[in-house]
Amino acid sequence: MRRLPQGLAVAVVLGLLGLLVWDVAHNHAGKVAKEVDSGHIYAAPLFTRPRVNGSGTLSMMSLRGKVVVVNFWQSYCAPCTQEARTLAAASRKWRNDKSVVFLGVDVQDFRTAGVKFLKRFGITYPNISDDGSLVGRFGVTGYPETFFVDRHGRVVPMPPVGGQAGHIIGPATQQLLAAGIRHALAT
Amino acid sequence: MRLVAVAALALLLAAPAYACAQHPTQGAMEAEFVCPECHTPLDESNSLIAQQMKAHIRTWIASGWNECRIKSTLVAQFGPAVVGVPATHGFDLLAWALPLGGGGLAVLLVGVGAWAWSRNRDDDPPGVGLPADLDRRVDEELARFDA
Repeated sequence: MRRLPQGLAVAVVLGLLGLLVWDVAHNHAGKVAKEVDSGHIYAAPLFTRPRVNGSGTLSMMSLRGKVVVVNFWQSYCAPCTQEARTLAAASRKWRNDKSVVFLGVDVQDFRTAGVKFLKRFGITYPNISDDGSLVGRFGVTGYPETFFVDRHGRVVPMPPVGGQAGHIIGPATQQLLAAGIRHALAT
Repeated sequence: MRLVAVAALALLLAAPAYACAQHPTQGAMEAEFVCPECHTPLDESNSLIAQQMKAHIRTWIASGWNECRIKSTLVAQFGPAVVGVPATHGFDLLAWALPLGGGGLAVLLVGVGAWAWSRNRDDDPPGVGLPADLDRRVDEELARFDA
């Protein structure tokens, strides 16, 4: 009789342990940022998200064959406003190079606020909205952050510049963006 | 046991039903969501995005939106984590099932324990009574008092 409750307790504990192991094994959160910051190349997550400045959706797959500068931002993030003009200027500078595109990811934001932000800073390159799930897949821990995806759809580490390496954490500068883009073009 | 099962089922069914109130109040809605930036309840947060969310909720309530529509709109923009309570489906169901299951198991164990204890109390275990000679002496002494 006493063995039944003991067996049940052991079964419950083993079941919970199994759930924990399953969750850890299937949790790839933060893998991209960790890998590129360690100097490794990592496959970019594939996604399709609704556009902020435009109608319909945009798929990462449709950008295959181009270097993609992926910038995560929020309209209510102060450092994002600091870098917005830099990004707008950089996108204009690289506009003639058809093998480079900029892609903004507006995270956990109202679309109206996002559109207002883009207009305010003169950003015309494609921007998509994210409910936070993409952030987890890339391993973004704050805003803004910028990654470089090469023509083969892989996130490539930016060479060490100005104390940063792997991907840009915080406001991007022209120097950091140029270093990341040139390196991605070369891979 | 049936009562526990019925209570668990009622709780599970009541959660989504409650989420679809037709005339939600501002206070109830603010208590239901969390700020995506600071992860505190919306009614306790004063961050910029929390203020924007409160303003949107106010507008939506004034426009006659029900609770489900407000919830689905906010979840689409901010993800499922914006809701302060776990979902009643998928993996998140465990958050409801485990406490309910644990509570039911605890009630069952207490019931079984109480039943076993009450049964043991009725039967004197062997050797608890007085020895025969002492018992006889007590009877004799009591008989003397009666006399």
